[in-house]
Amino acid sequence: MQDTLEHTLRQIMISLLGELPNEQGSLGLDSFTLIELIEAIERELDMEVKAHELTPERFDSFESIAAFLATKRSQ
Amino acid sequence: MKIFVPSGMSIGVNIVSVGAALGERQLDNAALHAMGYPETPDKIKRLTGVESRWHVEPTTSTAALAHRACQQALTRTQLGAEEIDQLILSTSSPDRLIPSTASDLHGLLKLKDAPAHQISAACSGFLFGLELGVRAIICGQRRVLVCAAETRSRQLEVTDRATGAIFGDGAGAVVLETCGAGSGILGVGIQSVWSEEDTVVLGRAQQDRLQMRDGASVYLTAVEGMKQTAQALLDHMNVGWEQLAMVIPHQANARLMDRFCWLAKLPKDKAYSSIAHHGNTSSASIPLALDEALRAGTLEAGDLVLLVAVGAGMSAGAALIRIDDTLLKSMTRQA
Repeated sequence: MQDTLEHTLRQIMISLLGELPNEQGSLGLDSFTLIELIEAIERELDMEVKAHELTPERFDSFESIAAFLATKRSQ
Repeated sequence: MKIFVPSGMSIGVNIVSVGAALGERQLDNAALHAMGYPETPDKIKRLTGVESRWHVEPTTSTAALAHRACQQALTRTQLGAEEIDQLILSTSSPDRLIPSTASDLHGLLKLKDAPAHQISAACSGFLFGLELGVRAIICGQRRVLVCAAETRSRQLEVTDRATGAIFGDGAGAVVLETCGAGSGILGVGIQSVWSEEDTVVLGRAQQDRLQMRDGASVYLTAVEGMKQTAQALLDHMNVGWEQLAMVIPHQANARLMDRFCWLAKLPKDKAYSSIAHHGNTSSASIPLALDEALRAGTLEAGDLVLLVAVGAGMSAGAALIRIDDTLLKSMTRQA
């Protein structure tokens, strides 16, 4: 399940950013890209991202986003 | 949310006409890109849903733009300005602080001694004005003119990626009158919830530039706020989403409206959208869209229409309207 989630997230990131992100490095996403990322996550992973969940820490790196989504899915 | 239900009173309040006006210059995405906006035309459309927007000429004041919308609404009702008891103007782009833009509009319309109020509730401003207008009618005024007018282009830096492509200039106005109980505006609710995060900020109306920080957070918060605000009013009125013929959300951004439909489980074709050719005209967006929907003949007598907005502050509002023949007939008049 975790592998599937990470794989899908990686595919989303590649489609948005054009390359595979450094997993631990800060993505530095601007607002428009962040909105596109959230929409893709919601569409591809069938998960809703709430406004209060949108913290810089959670959406800083590939690793932090993947960890946030895995925790959210397990709840 | 504070909800006012005129349909529960002995008299009702109806929108009897709508008027609209846009800035004089239409700017498509290619023109905006040529002026220095950092994204390509196709990407602007993909990110915002906006294909073109209208900007006022430098000599056009917010009051003048509002005047065109108000005059059109009055012409459609075949009323003279002297028959208006009260004027309420929503704007967050006033021409100056004193006198108010509402006062200048009062002068342009040649209203007699009708009081002119000006309110500021960002993108929810029209619904705040509508709520005040409804209360004024219930309290005995015969006719109230509610207008929302914005010249947001004066507050923009075209090169700013966050704001430069989204906003446009426009004005919309409605005339309110009494009607039979249970018709017209069935319920209207407004609320303010203070947020310490200044995500959409403008210091001084004509000197500073609009800033939007943390746009993704604004996007999520606004969508959730619109859904909650709409749901609160519908629950209060005991009306289900499936009973609505149309929802006119604040035309903030096409993606935001799409997400609103997704959260509300509302078919996209029930949410009226004029963002592609109006852009985000802040508090004017709802009356502009209502005017367009009515003129397009997409609404029939008896249809239930929900208006809903969230704005900076945070401010939020919603109104539930039953369309009637008086309104439909007025919209067929040339103005």
